[in-house]
Amino acid sequence: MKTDLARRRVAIAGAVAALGGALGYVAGRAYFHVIIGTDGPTIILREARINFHLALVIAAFVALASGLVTAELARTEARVARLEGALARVALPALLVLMALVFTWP
Amino acid sequence: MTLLEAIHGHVGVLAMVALFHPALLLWSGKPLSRNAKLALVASLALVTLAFGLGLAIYPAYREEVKPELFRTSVRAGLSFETKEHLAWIALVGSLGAGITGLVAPPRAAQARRLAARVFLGAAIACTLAACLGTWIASVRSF
Repeated sequence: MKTDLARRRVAIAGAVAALGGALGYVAGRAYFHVIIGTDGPTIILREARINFHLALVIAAFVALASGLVTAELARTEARVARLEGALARVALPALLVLMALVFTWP
Repeated sequence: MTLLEAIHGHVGVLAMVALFHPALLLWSGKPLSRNAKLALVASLALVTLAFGLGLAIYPAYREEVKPELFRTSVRAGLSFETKEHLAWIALVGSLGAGITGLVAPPRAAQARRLAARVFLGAAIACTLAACLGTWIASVRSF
């Protein structure tokens, strides 16, 4: 049973890491738009200097951190069940909103 | 580079189709069979390969194609950026959902349902990326 709980914690951490990684990346994108303040090709040229690969590493770090925090929070079966239920409801709408945002901020 | 770009496109389309499979497998919340787990891992390998190939050709693409793409069509140039972001959502979504689907113990039906929803989101992102990529390649390519 204890192993089951540990596996469920890892499972839920994986899902949260997926959402956190996507959110971290899109939030970074929105930040670039705010500080540069343009929707034209300028942002693409400026971003080349910021380094696309670094942006990916940051998003991966956000994913890892959010996954670890979730695993830490989900210490009991009841909490894990609550988190699983809540995430199952919001995961797909959240990803669709993020996709809509990347069409808004190219 | 033309060959690598073509392989990247084809693997991307395969990944798009493959990502819908785990979403369907996990939707009911039932435990996965050994073959279903293998199929899930194969879909993750495909999406990772497509993204890796994209990263490999990106430096040459940025120098040789991107400026011309923007000169030909600013809309297509900006859509290329959107495609990259969608590809990232597809990659990180499928990897995270893959962990959830593979690690969830047999009793954790809700965790598998959660993984199915994240997989579906990743599959939609991958589909949009593939559609945009096909259109952009028709505007300007290597």
